[in-house]
Amino acid sequence: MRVNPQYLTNLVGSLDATSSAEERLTEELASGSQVNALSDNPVAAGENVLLSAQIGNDDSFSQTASSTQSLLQVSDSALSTVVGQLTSAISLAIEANNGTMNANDVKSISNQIAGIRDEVLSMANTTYLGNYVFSGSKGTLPAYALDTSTSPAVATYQGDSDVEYVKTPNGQNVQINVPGSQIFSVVGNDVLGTLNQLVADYSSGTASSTAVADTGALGTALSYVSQQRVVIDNSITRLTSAEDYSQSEKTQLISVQTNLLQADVGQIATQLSTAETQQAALSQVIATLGKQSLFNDL
Amino acid sequence: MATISTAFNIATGALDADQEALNIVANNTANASTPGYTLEMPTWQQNDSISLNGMNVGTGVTLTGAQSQRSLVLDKAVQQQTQTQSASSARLTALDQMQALFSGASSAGTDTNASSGIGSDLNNLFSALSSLEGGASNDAYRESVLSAAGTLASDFNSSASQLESQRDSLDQQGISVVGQANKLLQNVAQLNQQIETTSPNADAGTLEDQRQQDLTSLSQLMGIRTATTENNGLTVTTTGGALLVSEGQAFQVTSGESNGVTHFYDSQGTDITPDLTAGGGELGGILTARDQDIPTAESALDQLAYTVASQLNTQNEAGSDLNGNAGTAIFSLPENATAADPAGSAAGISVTMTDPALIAAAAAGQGSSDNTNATAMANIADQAVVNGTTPTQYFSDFVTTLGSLVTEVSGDNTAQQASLTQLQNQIGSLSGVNLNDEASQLETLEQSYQAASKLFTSLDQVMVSALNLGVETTYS
Repeated sequence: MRVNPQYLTNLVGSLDATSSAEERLTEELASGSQVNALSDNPVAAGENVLLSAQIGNDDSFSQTASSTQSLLQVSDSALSTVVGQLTSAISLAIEANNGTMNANDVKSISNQIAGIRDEVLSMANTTYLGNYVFSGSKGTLPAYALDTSTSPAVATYQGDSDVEYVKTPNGQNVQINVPGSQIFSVVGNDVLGTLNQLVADYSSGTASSTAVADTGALGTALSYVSQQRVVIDNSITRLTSAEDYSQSEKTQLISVQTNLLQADVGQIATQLSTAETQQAALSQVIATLGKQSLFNDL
Repeated sequence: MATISTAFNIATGALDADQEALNIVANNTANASTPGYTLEMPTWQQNDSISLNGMNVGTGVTLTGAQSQRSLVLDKAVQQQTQTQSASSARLTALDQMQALFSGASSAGTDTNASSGIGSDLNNLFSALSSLEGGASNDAYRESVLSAAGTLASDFNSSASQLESQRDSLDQQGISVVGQANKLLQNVAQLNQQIETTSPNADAGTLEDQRQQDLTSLSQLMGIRTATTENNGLTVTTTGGALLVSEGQAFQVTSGESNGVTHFYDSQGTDITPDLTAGGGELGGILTARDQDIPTAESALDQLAYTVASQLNTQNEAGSDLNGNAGTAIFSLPENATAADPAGSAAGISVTMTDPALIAAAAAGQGSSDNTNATAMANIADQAVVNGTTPTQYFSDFVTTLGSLVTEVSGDNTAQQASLTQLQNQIGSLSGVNLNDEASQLETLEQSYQAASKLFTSLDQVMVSALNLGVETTYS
């Protein structure tokens, strides 16, 4: 049977194929990635888009979580101060209520409680990065304004009742603020109102008839504030665990991504070496066959 | 005497025939590497015998010519396979360039590296929006939303414009391919004429070689069908039947612009672009990439750009900005783009918002610390808004589809190349010049020539003997 006398051309085609395999392997080694073009592994490329998005999501949640945690800690420490202040206000009131103090001492207690009220007010008007944290959505306005022209003085809430949430990567909503109206001026647990009342109760030098009841009311308000603090502490805990979760998810996803894309250096090196051997053999064959011709022997 | 003369004639004829056969071998050897050359074999024919004194006597040999070793069936098969293979090869080249535009999708890492492409841009934008949840009135967060939006828009723009410029360059290539094809058509027509004149009933040898070679070159360029006519002529049509060559006349393919791209017309003025697209050859591959693959990618990007931009615009318009005003659009899209026909969105998308304070993070009527609307915007990332999938999933599907298409075409191309090689081997084994064969022919002919010469010398001796009637010295 006759064969194609141009078989050398086909061999050169094989040589080209080997060279292109070598080129591809070298590129994989150089980039460290086994998917250098979409067609190298279309499914892996598509998967990588999704993985990158999820990793990015986890990453950005870490940032969100840390900035929100700072916000929550500022709120928490403000409430912690308020609790301390209210405790001392109650002690002062109890002292004033026992009837052993002279008028000057009672007046001075009124002034001290007024000082505590101002401190609580300033805690209610705490800011974080320039925003009032207890004003609901109206972060540009102080939560409370105090009007001392009347007796008792009146603290007016200027914010709204908006509650904010952040969403964790697994879809939970975590509360990140408590509006001031739910902490400092709740009907029945009115911290600022009661403080104002007590200031007025002792301002004359004699404890007024409502002073004992007001002291009791401040005690109730104090425990209410502590309950609201729990809401904030809970959020901090939930954010921390969500952040941990997203960090560990990220680590896991990155390892999946690495498995998906990373070139197996050992395998590539083996393939490259095989391709080199093949190329050398082919060149040898071409060189040898090229020399053979019956004409040489005529 | 008559018989000795006959023997002389036979020997002379054999020498002539051997010489002619040697010419054929020499010609084969000389053309061993000529593209399209078909091996020629000497056709030996035994001369008619004559009746002499009641005996039948042979009168030697004549060489009637050289016969090209050609198979028209194989030639046709090679032409068709060439058309298929070169179509997928041209398409693959275009697709390879196209997928390079989206190679960022296969790189790891989620950093803010803008070159990683649309996938990571989308991701950065939605991440920036979700950071905004943690600090709705924070200027830095707002700024980063705008900058991520800007990067996304500009990556959409550059992908769209690169696709468009690829399309333009394919368009130009198409015109140049048709120019080359027109020249070949003219060659074929001329060769038709020569063949019909010189060799209407038999293989036309080298002219036929040239015509087949032109048809093979033409097959690389475009899809054709051929039919042999009487007098050894050839009719060439497109695969759809538009006449390209008839006898000695070539009908040029003309081109003209229609809807922003070049269309091609036959001699009757009929638009044969779809015919050429489906037909194969380099032109078929180019036109497939130009009219199918690139527009498909463009429309996917348009869809994504339009949906993401319009969803975010709508959501932003639903909220209140930092100054308490109703939100406005973040992105601007081409005026005539609609959800049903978002054409041009990827090329035309831009960020119109320049003031970060205008991002409406708060729900309508809420104060500046409210993040409800920012959350709603960030949530668009997880909503099935683009053709029933999330924006990222849509882009991921797009990347997978494109990659798979390239893999598929590349696989087809490899298989077609293998099949073409197989056919070329078959043709080669029939029509190729094998130098070893020629060497052995040469050796045989040389011996045959020597034998005929020897015969001549011997006959000469016999003749001398006859003339001298046995006296050796009188005449020599």
